[in-house]
Amino acid sequence: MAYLLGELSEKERARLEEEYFADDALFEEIRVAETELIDSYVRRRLSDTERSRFEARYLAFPELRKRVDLARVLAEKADSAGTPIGGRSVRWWQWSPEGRWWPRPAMVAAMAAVALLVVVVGAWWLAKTPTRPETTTARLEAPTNPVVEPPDTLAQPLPSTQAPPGTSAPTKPLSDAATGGGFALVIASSLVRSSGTEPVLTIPTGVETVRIRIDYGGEIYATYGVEISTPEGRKVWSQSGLKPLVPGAASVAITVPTKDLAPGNYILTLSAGAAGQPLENIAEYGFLVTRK
Amino acid sequence: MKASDSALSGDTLDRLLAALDVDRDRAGQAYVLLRQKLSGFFQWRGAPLPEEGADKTLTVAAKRIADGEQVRDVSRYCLGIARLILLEQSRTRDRFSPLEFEPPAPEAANPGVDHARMDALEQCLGELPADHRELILNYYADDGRTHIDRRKALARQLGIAPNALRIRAHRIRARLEESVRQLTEEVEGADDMKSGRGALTDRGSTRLGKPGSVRHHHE
Repeated sequence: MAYLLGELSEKERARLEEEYFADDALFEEIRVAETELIDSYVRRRLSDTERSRFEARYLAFPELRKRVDLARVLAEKADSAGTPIGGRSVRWWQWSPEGRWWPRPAMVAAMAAVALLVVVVGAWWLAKTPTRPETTTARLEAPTNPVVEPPDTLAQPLPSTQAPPGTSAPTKPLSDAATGGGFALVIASSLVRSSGTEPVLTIPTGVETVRIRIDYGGEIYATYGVEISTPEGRKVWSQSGLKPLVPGAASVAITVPTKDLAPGNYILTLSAGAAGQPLENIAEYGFLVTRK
Repeated sequence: MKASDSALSGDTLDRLLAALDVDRDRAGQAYVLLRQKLSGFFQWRGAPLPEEGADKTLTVAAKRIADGEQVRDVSRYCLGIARLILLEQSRTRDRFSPLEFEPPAPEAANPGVDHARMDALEQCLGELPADHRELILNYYADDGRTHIDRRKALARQLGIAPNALRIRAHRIRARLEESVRQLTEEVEGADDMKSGRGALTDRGSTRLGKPGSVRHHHE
């Protein structure tokens, strides 16, 4: 994508050109990547910087702008087409990650049950929690969407996200006093990518960074790394050398510049390892960024 | 037809094709792919008229080969010529008309529904084989994680790897885009003829892919 957006050095560009003129598969891969880049623009998944670069390159010339226009129309058509897979016409809300079909009444009933549970638990929690004075207004509010445990059939974590055998979650929840609080988003260990329920990070206008806490609920490691990428695999932000938020807690905090988080879906990959050892991926989470 | 096309006819074109491959059909395929690469090179380097650059490159290469120059790797040879042409173009940018340097319209990032293009898309989708149409609409539907899950399921259903599905979808889409492009050009051409603006939009005439010439979709 860096090549397509003109972000490579002259030397790197020349080398890549030599390679794709000699390698048909690489050339096709670049063309596929270009189509995906156009789709990302149309779907508003590019960062502000990428969007500016894209517009300077792809909207400046009529032939390229036509491709962008067509991508927009195709996305609209595909989204509204009813998309039959396996002989049945379905919408996204009827589709489960495992490829099974949700009978509509069952889905509705499940959603209603979850909503009722949220209301009941929320009311109980409000009744039990003592009223606290408002903290600093400079910090973002906690996510407005509650952490909802999905139905059992959707709650199975991906193999790569399961905690190693013999490990355990922190024995007590982290308090704001211990962690510094003020997290715009808290990702809990149950919200793995396949869960069907993802947290939403709403970024107000004017906010330059957001704090995200990841409570992965597994073994404690010496060092951690976090990478945030788009569903297509484009890395938008990363940081390594992270330590547990609180000593002994399976929790990591990051501060991410909001300029790197355009509205859209993201995948957060948490890696960890012993001191001086390569990091290994231990969990993946999906989350959605919106702006207000 | 432009001079560059004329220059590639007859013996000159034959020699270039022969240099690409001894088999005529494979040589035709190699020619189309090489032209796509050259067009991509000029586009990704920010040249305003990528296809013109590609055609010019092929013309120069074909003439040199016809003149007896020994070329071992035609593809690499053409890349070298393309770089020189790009350099020359960058020195003479002012020869392009303002129409070809149309700046991005502010509303281009978020326009309303393009009914004409939607009509063309629907017509071309209707002309695709049913399985291709279904694949395209499924593959490019939805957004975010939902479409990732959908694509995984689609790959499982088709019994292929996700990346193979990605390539397959792209190839079908490339054909679809070309069909829509040709159809919209025909419609715009007809409209322009009615309004007396025909000459302004006839930019596709340099394409090798016009009826009657070598044409191949790389798949």
